[in-house]
Order: sequence, then structure tokens, then C-alpha cells
Amino acid sequence: MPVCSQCGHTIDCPNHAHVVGSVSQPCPLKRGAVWLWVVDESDGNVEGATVTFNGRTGTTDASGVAAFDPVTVQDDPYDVAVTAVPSTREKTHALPTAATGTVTAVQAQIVTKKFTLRTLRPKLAVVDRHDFKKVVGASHKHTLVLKNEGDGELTLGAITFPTHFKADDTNAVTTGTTIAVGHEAELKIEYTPGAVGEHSGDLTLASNDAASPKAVALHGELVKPAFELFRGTGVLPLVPFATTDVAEHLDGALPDTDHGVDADTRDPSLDAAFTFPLKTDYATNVHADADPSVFRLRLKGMPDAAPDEVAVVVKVLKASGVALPGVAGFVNAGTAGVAAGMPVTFKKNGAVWESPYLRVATTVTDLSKGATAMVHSSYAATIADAANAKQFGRVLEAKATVMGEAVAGEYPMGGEPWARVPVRFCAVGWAGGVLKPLAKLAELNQYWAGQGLEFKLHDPLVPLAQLVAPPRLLLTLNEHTGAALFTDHDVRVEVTVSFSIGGGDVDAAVTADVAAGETASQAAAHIKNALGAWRGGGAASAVRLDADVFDFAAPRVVLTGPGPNPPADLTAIGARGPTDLTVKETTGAAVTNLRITRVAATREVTTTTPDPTGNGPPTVTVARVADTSVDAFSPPVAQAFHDPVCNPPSAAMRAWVRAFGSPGRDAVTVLISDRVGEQALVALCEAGLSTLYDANVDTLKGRMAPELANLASSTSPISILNFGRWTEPQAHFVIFLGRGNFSAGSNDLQHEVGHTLVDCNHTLREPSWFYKYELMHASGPPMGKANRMTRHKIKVDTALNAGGWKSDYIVLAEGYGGAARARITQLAPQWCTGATDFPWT
Amino acid sequence: MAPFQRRVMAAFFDRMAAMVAQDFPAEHRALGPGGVRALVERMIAWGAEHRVVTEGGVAVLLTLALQYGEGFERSPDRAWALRELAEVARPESARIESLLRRMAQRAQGRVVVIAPEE
Repeated sequence: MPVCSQCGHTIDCPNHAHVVGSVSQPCPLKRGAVWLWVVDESDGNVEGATVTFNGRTGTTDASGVAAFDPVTVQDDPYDVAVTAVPSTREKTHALPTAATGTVTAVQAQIVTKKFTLRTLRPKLAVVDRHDFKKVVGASHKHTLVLKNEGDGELTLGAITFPTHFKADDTNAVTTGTTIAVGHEAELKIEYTPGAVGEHSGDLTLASNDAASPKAVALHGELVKPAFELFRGTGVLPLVPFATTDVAEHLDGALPDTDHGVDADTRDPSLDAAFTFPLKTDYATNVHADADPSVFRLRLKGMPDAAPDEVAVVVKVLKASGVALPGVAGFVNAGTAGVAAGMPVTFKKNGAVWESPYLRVATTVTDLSKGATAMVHSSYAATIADAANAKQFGRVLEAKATVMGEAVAGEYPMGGEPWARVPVRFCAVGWAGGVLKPLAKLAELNQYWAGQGLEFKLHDPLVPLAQLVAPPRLLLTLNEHTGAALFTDHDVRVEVTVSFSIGGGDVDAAVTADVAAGETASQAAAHIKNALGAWRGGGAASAVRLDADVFDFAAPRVVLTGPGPNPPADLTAIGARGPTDLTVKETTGAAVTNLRITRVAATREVTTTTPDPTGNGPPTVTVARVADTSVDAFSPPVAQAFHDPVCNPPSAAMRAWVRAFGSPGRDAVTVLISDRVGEQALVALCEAGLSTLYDANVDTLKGRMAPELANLASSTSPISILNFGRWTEPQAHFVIFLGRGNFSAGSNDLQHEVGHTLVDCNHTLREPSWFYKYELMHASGPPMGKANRMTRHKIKVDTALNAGGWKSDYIVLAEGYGGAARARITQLAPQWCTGATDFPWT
Repeated sequence: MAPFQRRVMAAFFDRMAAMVAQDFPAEHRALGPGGVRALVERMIAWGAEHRVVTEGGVAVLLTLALQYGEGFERSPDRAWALRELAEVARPESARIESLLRRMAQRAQGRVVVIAPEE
């Protein structure tokens, strides 16, 4: 019995059975009913869904139910279905997979068929994962494709970028952007690396995807292309010679040739492809002692997308610190010497882009050997050109644009020379005309390119000096005879010393009688005594003269015998050396222009003339006549000297050394004459620079005659080397050149400089090895494995007076340049740039 | 008081069993007398948890349990009904009346069954 909900008492219905509460139950409730109940996956009721029952359509109410009540109870089931989701849920829900079914009605029951709508789910996918790998430039953009691979509409939430990445300003995709099912959206991202290196982080995309947020790894790498100088497989350091032992590089792992492979093992075909520079015209690049000109450049740190070929412009910016172009004559079309530079194509080789082999030349002569040579300057016939034609201090510039990125590199080519040699040009017996010693200096530098030497003008303001005779204060006895006795008969030596005092010139004439059988030193003592006894009058009355006597008892020595190595035997000439007497002012008033103006020897000649009548006594006449047998002369020098080795044994040549060395005696002096041989000597004498020629009798004195006779027929240049045993330590090298030797096209100057610098000179026997391995000389052999420049051992002849004369030679371990280096280090360390300790000997 | 209370409770159980037998004969048969008693006891307890303590209130809960299941799991209004019951600050009568109007009226005395899965 139903009961009252309020009081619990049984409630009777007057018409039917019962009444429950206020709700009437008009019938026994035995009819069947069907509810179609629609819920979502959260079991929430879905209102508004469209359902069908046995062909009838209904809509679910707020409880998610569409009631079909009553229905006829029958054995056969009814077809039921949910046919549409509510419009409010179309974007979020879909019909269930089983949207249809059957229901069998039951008497007095409400049979409920429950349908569960399927929830639609968006799925965010990033189709393209871009990597900004090895890029150049400040900003790089890429569009990421976002795709909705789910079955529900995708709505983007917050978009968060890692450092160095950001959204492109033009981006249309932002927070709140919706992407329909199966559709895509483009997210434009920008990579702003800022600094070279790798950058990475996660791009975070929030959305209504169940898997939100989604992380997208971003990566970028900013690279910076850069040039690198290299040679073959090894990268040579750019080092100055002054601080680096070049031999380390040459003997170690690094190659001594141009192809990166040691000459003994490299592919011979490479030699054929890249001919070594043979003689002139090449400047040096990195290694003065190695291949002087061949090198390569390469680009490293290149971006991934760089093309296989990159155009590069190479250009020489400076020479000896002077900016180029701007130097007159510096116009060599098609080369790096022009203002626009020379185009070169770098080709990809693995991770780097490499240039072809390049050369730096100083002239255009060798450009025909390949299209990849470049010129840094030329030595046209102007002083400005020559001054800028130095081989060192050049700066090579390489420029390229790689994918919009400017790349540039500058390389000092040649580093520092290990020595700078001052050269002084002097004219002797000059008849006029204009030579161009500066241009010649440029040639000299080119000739020596690759040896680490650079020549400079000793005095740039006086490129060609006209010299006058120096004051003579030296009287030399027995220079040429080398005899033990000065005279075998009585002679009188007459010496006139002149000086100026109080505005007037004074001649002090003295005589010294030398008896037969006396030595040169005894004769010199007589002269010294005569000078000391001289007394003048007037202003000169207070003047006292004196002299120093230097006697050299040892014989003069030359190298003779067969050569070339070991050097020839030393042979003494004469029994002893000369005796020098130097005039000096000792007391009294100061004088100027003190000098010997006359030296003469006379002997007494008695002439007996019979009386013409035959009756008287004969007439005996005693007269003094010139005695040319006496070896006494005054060379144009101020100090006593003695050279042990000199061939030809020319006092005149020694005199030139003394006379025309630079004032500081710190240069290679080049004497230029427009006369040759004997004529040159005559010119010297006529100019008062030598006494070897007696114009009065047109006679050459002493033993010089045959030597000068040889010179008379020769135009050979001569170099004189001071071995360092003369009393003036700074009189280094003197080269005598006839004008013809100095003409354009002649390399005699360069050759003679070679002699002087490697301690060879023409006063010695010519060493054949010097010519054989003088690689730069016109007659030198081609460069090859057998005589490579830096491995060939050099022998240098020397003559030493170590308690007696002997010859010696030293072996220089490395190459021609090493020999010159060693000698300069020994003789003129002040010429070396920086370090003076070169381990070459 | 105890003997009196026992008699009252016995009478209540008898009335509830009679109601089930009359209005829900199939369920009465299925449950049996013991099962019906147990069901009534669970409804009393459930009602007490929600401050439904009157005989009429418990009778409504019993009726709805038979129609929709003990947790109203077969009712589309289950969530609403449970929230209604949980609002214990409201008077029991108001809440029971609300349940009656929405759920009992809807079922009209019939038992709701879920069609089996096909």
C-alpha cells in the first residue's frame, strides 16, 4: 500500500487504488515505455540530441532523455537511434560509433537505451621541424606548419619561444587561433642568433589538444666564414723571421715545398703543374726560406647553404706600409694590383672552400705562368715606384660575400725580413748621365726575394753620391814589394804635408834619407823623425807634427791552388807586409785640412862628363832623380790598415774601400763608374783619389801593372769584402761596378751582393758552388729536388789569422739564405731585425 | 522505550514490505522477504546520512531505489537527485517532495531498466 510521504499513513484512492502524494497515478501503470538517453563521455546528460524511435523523432530534454511513453509492448524490438548531436555540441561531440540499436518494450517497465556521444579531440602536429643549421646573418626566418590532425577543432593557447627565437612580426598565428580539423596554419618564426655559436631551446605551443603543451625543439647555429692562409696540407703560421726559427718549420712536419708534401715524397705531377719560381720577379709570402711565392687561401666556417663556388677578390693593399694603389705604374690589368683586385673562385672541398694556388709577384713577368698570380707593385723608372717595390710589409686582402655576409681577411705577406741591408750608391769618375739607383734597389729586392733580405737606401736623400778625395794622412811603404828591405841603395824620401792655419795654407816639406839595406820600418822611422823636427814660421810656428808607424811583419796572403772545395791553399806573397805611417798633428795651434800632398823618392845620380878638350878633368855632376823603384805612396785613406787577403793585390782597391765606404761604414757601398779597368783607375788618380798612376811618366806603379792591365780589358764587376780584421770594423762590403754593369737588365749588382753577403768575393778564387747554387742568378740551374733552396748545405770559405795564416770553411746547415744570414749576423748584427742569434752555423 | 520502538520499527518494516509486494511484485519476488528487509534497512541508513528520517521520506527513497536503482544509477536525474539529497540544510519534506515530483512522476510507478548492450 502506498503511504503518505508526509505522514506515512496508507493513502486510499477513491476511484482507483492509491494516490501518492499529490501526484495522481491514474492507472495501474502497467504500460511500457522507452527512454532514449543521450550522454557524453563524462556521463553528462546531453540536451537537444535528435533521436528516433520506430520512425518517430524526438529530442532529448535537459536530462538527456527523449521519452516515448507509452509504447506498445510487443515481442519484436523497436529500432532506435541517435541521429544528430545538438547544434551547441557540433564542434565538440560526434555521434557514437554505435548510433543505432533496438529496444524491446516491457510491460510496466521503462526500458532505457543509453547513447554516449563521442567527444571530438584536436591534435596539434608540427609538420616541419626546421633547423637553422650553419647560417650567416643576423636574422633568419622560417615558417612552421601547424596541422590539426585530430577530429576536433584546435585552438592555440600561449606560444612561448626560447632565447634567440621569436615570432615573426608578420605572424598571423597567435594565441586564440583556431585550426579546423585537417587544416593547417603557418607559424612564422625568426632566428636572431646575435653571436656566433649554437642556440637551441623548445618552442612551447599550448592548445586544447589533450597533449598540450607541445614542445618543438628549435636549433640554430650562426657561423662566421673566415679566410685562412694555408699551403697544401699544412697551415703555416704567419711569423716574423726575427722571432722564429724558420728551420723548425722546414725540417719538421711542415713542408718545404709548395704543395704541402715534402719534396721527396710528393706527387711529381704537382711539380709539373706548379713550376717553382726560378730566379727573379717573385716576392715572398710567408716563408722567406721556403717556396717564396706559392700559397693558398681557404674559407672556413661556411654556411650549409653556401654555393659550391664562391667568388673572392684578392688584392694587395699595402707595400712597405704604403697603401696601394696610388703608386705610379701600379696598373697591371687582370691582377690583384689593380684597384678592383683580382677575382678568384674558391671551390668547395669538404667543409672548406679552397682557392687555387696563388702567387704574389713583384712584376707582371710571370703572370703568363698562370692566371692566379697577383702583383703588388712594379718598379717602373721612378723613385716612388722603386721605394715601394720592397718585398716586405705587404698586406694581402681577400674579400668575399657569402650569402650576403661580408667576409674579409688581411694577411701580412713575408713577415719581417731578418735583415735590412743599407746600400749606398757612389759615383766614381762619373762623366754624367742619370742612373736610377732606386730602381736598381727595387731590382735588388726582387732578385733576393725569398731570402729574407731587404735592401734599403742608406741615405734616401742622396741616392747617388759624387765623392771627392778624402784627406790623405797615410804613407805606405813596401805595400807592393813585400820585400824585407826598403831599398838596396840610398834614397831620399820627400814628403810634403799641407795644412791650413789662420786662413793660409802651409806646406811642410820634409826629407828623410834612407840608406841602402834599411827596412821599411826604418825608413818610416826616418820620416817620422823628419816630421817631428819640422818647424814652421808665422802662425805655423807653434805647430808640431808627428806620425804613428804601423809595421806588419807578416807576409800578405792570398788563396791559390785548385778549388773549389776545400778551399785553396794559402800562399804568401812577399817576405813581409807593408809599413804604414800616419801623419798627425800633435801640439800647437789647431790646423785644418791636414793631408799628405806629395810623396816622392829620389836618389842621387852622379854623372861624369869627360872634358871636351881631353885635357881637363872630367866634369862630375851630382843630381837627384826620381826613383820609381821605391814602393812608397799615399793612398787616400785616413787610417792605417792591412788586409791579409786581397786579389788582385790592389792597394787602389783597398783605397776605394776606405774612401768610399759610407761615413758610418755601415752599408754595402756600390761604386759606379762610367769607365772600366785601367781607365777607371786612371780616372781615380786624375781625381786625386789614387797615386798608383803617375801621370808624369804615364806609368803604373809596382806590381799593380799586370793586375790593372787585366782590368783594362775587363768589365767584370768586383766586390770587396772586409773580413772584419781591418781596423775599421764597419767597412763591410764594397762593390765596384762599371756603368755597363749597372745598366738595366744586368743582374751583376744582385750577383755581387750575393758574393758579399755569403762571404764570397772576387778577391778570392771564385767558388763554383756559389755559382752553381746561386738559384737567383740568370745562369743558375732550375729549382729541383736536388738543389732545393732550403736544404742545400753551404760551405763558406774563410781565411783566418790565428797565430799563423790558414784557410778554413764552415758548413751552413741550411741553404743559401742561411749562409747569407749567418754572415750578416756575424758581420753586421745591427742589420738584423730583432733576434741576432741565428743558429745557422 | 525500547519495546515500543521495536514495535514501531516492526510495523514500519511490515508496511514497506507490503508496499513492495504490491507495487513492485517482480522485485519483491526477486528479493524475497529478507532481501526486501535488507533493502529497507539500507534505505533507512542512507536516509539517515542525508537527514531523511521520516517514514514517508524513507518510503520515497525505497520507491525510487526500486525504480532507478539504489544509487539512482538508472536515472537521468541521478546527479540532480544526489545533489538534492545532499542539501541537508533544507527541510526533508521539501527535498523529498522535489524528488517525488521530478523522478517519481517521470517513472509513474514503473521500474526503469537499461536496455542491454547489443
